[in-house]
Amino acid sequence: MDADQKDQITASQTFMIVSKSMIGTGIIVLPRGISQEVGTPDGWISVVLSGLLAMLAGYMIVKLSQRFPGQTIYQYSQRVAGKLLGKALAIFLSLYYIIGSGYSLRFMGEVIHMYLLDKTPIEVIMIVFLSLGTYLTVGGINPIARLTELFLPLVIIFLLVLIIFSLKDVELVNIRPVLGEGMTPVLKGIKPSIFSFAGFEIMLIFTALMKEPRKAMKTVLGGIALVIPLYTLVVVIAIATLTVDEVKTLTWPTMSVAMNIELPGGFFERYESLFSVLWVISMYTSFVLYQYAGSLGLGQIFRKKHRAFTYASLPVIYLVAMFPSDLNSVFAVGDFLGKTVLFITAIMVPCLWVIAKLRRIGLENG
Amino acid sequence: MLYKVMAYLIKPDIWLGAFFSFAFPFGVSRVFHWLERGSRGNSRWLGINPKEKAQKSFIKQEISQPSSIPFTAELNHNLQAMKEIIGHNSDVLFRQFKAGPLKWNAAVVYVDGLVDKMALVEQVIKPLMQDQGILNPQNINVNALNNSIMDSVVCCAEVKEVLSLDDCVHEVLSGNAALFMEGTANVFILGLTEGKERAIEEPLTEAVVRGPRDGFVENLRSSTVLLRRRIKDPGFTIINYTVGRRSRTNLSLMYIRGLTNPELVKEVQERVERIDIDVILESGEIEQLIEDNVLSPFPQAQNTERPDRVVSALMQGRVVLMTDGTPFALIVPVTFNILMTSPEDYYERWLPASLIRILRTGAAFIALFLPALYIALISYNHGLIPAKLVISIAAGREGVPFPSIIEALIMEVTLELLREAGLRLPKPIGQAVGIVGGLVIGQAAVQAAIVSPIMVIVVALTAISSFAFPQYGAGIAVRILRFAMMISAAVLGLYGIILFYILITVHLVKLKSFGVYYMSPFTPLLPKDWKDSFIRLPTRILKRRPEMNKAQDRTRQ
Repeated sequence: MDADQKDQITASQTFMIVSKSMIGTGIIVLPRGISQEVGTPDGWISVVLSGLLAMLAGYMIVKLSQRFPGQTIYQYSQRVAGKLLGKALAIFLSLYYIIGSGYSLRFMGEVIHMYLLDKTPIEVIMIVFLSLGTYLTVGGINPIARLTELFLPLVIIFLLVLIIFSLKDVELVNIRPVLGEGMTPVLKGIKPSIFSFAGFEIMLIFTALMKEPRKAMKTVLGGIALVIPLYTLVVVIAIATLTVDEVKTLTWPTMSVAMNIELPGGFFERYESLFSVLWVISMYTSFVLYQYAGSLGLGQIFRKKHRAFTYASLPVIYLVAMFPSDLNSVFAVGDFLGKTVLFITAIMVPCLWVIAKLRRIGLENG
Repeated sequence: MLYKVMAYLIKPDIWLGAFFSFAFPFGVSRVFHWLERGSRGNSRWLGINPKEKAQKSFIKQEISQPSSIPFTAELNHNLQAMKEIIGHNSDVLFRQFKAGPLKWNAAVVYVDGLVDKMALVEQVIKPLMQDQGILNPQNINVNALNNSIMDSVVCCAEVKEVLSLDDCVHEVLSGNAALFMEGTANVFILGLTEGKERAIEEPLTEAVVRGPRDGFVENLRSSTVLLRRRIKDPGFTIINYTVGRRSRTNLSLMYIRGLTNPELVKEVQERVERIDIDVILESGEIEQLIEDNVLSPFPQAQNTERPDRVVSALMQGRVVLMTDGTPFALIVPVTFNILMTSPEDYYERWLPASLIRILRTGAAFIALFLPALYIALISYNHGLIPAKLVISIAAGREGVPFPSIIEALIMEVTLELLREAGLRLPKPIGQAVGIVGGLVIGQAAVQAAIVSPIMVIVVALTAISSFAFPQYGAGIAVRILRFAMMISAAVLGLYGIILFYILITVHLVKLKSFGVYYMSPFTPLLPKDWKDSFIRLPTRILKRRPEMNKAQDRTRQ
C-alpha cells in the first residue's frame, strides 16, 4: 500500500527484535513485583511458567498473522472484525503502543534521573531521548532491525556480566526452600511476571514485514525462549543476593544488585551507574520498536506514510510520559499496560482467530 | 480519572515541553533535509539533476565551437580550422613538410613538451620525407597511398584515425601528435606522448613495515602498469572515461570481469557518467561527487596510494577508480570494518595481525571516548572513579580555574592546531613545532595551572590513539566526532556520551556505500565474513570472498 510495506526483515532480525522488545523496563523491576506477589523465594518458577504461557500466546499470534500474509493487524483486523470494530481495534492497538512508548520514556528518565543526572530536569533527559528515537524511527523498519542486531548482543553481554559478577554474593539459603508453600504462591506470581514478557505481541505487526513469514513461528518461540533464562537468572540472582524480604521493599531491585558488585582491581566504583548507562542502549531499542509500531499503525489506518505520524505522535508520547505525578503512578501505568497486554494476547487475538476461522477469511492452513 | 487528566492538561509548562518534544526533532530533520537538498541541487556544476542536462550541452558548445565538424580533403583548410581553435597558443606547433619524391604536402600538429620530439622525427617525419619506394609518382591513387603510409612508412606503435575536428583537438591537447595529409579527410593520431613524471616511491601516508614499497604516481598509465604487473587475469578490465568539461581528465574504472558483481559496476558507471564539472584535480573530487551521503562525517570511498591494496580490493570484488594527475586511487564500496584494516594485516601471520587489529579497535574507542569520559566523570559522575584516584585527580585540578570542558577544549584545540601546523610546514620545522608545542606548551600550561596534569595525559593518549588509524579519512571522522562527543558529555554527562554513541551507531546503520551497508558484516549479519573482521583468521581458513560485495566467483582457495 505504501512505501513502508516494501521494507522487509530477515528471520534472524525478527528473532532479535522479538527478544529485544521484551528486554526493557521489566528487567529492572521484575524481582520486586514478583516477590511482592509470591512472598516465597519461588518467584523464578513463576517466571518460567509465564514464559511458557507467553510462548503459547506467541503461537496464537503467529497463527493468526500467518493467515494474512503481508498484512499487519492494523490491516486485517478490519477484514476479520468488520469495518468499524476492526478500525477501533487498530486504533486501540496503536494507542497502546504510543502509551507504551510514553511509559518506557518516563521509566528511562526516572532511572537516569535517579542514578546519573540528579540535577538535570527530567524533561530534558526525555526530550533528548525522544528526538534520538525519532531519528531512527523515521528511517523505517530496516535500520531499526539492523540496530537491534548490533545492540541485542551488547545488552545480553552486559546482563551476563551483571549476573556473573554478582555470583559471589549469592547465598543459596535465600532461594530455599523450593516450593516450601506449594504451588499457590507460584501461581500468584504469574500475573506480574507475564507483564514483563510484554513486547512479543509486536509480532502481530512484524510477521507481515518478514521476508520469509514461514519462519515466524520459529523466531517468536526462539525469541521468547532466549528471554526466559535471562529473566529467571535475574530474579534468582536478585533474590539470592538480597533475600525476598529486602527485594520487596526496593524500588529498583536489579540496580541494587548492581550496587553490590565490585569489579576486581577496583577500576570502577558504583557499578549501578555504569549499568544504568548501558541499560539506556537496551531502553532505546525497545522504545524505538514501540514508537515504530505505534506510528506504523496510525499510518496504515489512515493510509499515509508512518513518518508523518512519527512526528505527530511525539507530543502525545511526551504528554503520556509526563502524566504520572510520582514514581508510584508510573508503576501504575505499567500495571495498566500489563493488563492491556493480557487483554490483547488472551482475549483479542484468540477471538480474532476464531472469527477468522469461522468466517473462513485468510489462508486456511496459514 | 477524567478530572485528573483535565487538571493535567491545563498546565502550561506541560504544553511547552510537548511543543519542544515535537519542534526539536522535527526542526532538526527539516534542517538536514534542506542541507541535503541544497548540496545536491543548487550548484550548476554538479549535473546530478536531470533538468540541467539541457544546460550542459549549451555550455559545451560555448567552449569548443565547431563541435564535430568533419575535416575536408584540403590540407590548408584543415590546418586553418585547427589554428582557429588552438593556434593562438605558443606551445602548439604546426610543422609543415613535403613527403617523398611526390612532394606531397603534409603537416604534424603537436603540443611542445607533451610529445617525444625525437620519436616524432625518427618515426614519422624522417620516414615520410626520405621515403623513395612507396610515395613515388607511379601509385597516384590517394586512398591507396593513404593506407600504405600507415602500413609501411610511419613506424610508430600507436596510431588511430579521427574524422572530426573536435576529436582531433582533444587528442592533440592530450599529448598526441596529429598527422595531416593533403587530399584526405582522415587525420592520423600518433601516440607519442612523453611526459616528465615522478619516480615510483614508497607512499608517505601509508607506510608498512612489511609489504611492497611501490606507490602510484601522478601518471595514470604508469599507475595502471603497476596493477597489470600484479594481475595477469584477462578478466581484469579497465574502462576509460573522460571527465571534466575543460580539463578532460582521464579516469579509469577497474574491476575484474567474472568476479565483480555486475550491478555494482553498473552503479559506479552510472554515477561516474553523471559527473559534470569543469575540472577534476584529484580523486577526492570524484569521491565527493559520487558518494551516497554528503552530510556524513564518514568517508564512503577508500583512497590509497598502494597498488597491493588496490589489487586486494579488486580481488574482494570491489571497484577501483583512478584519475590522471593524482596517485590516489578510489575504492568503492567501503565499510567501517575495511577502514580499520591495513594491508599489512594479511602479510603478517594471523596471530600478530589479529592482535594488532584488536589494538586498533581499542585505539579507536580511546580516540573517540577518552576526553569525553574525562569530562563526564569529572563534572557529573565522580562517584564512578575509585576514591584514591579521585583524590589525586582533585589534587591535580586544584588551582585550575576552568570547568573540565573548557580545560579539555583548550588542550584538544591546541593539539589539533599543532598537528595542522606541523603538516603544512617543511619537515624539519614541523618537527620543531611539534617539540615546542608538545613539551613546552604542555609543561608550561600545567605549571601555569591552566590545565591539570591528568588532562595532559588524556590528550596525549587520545592523540597517539588517533594516529593508529590505518586510513586518514577514518581518523578525521573520529576527530570531528570526538569534539561533538566532548560537548555532549559536558551537557549531559555519561548519559550524553551514551546517547551520542547511539546517535553515531544509528547513523552508521543507516549509511550505505554503493549498495553495501556500512556496518556489514556485523549488521546485516553475515557471520561468514566475521573471519576477517575484528580478528583475522589464518589465510587457509579465509577460503571465500566477502559476501557483502556479492561477488560472482565466491571461492578464493
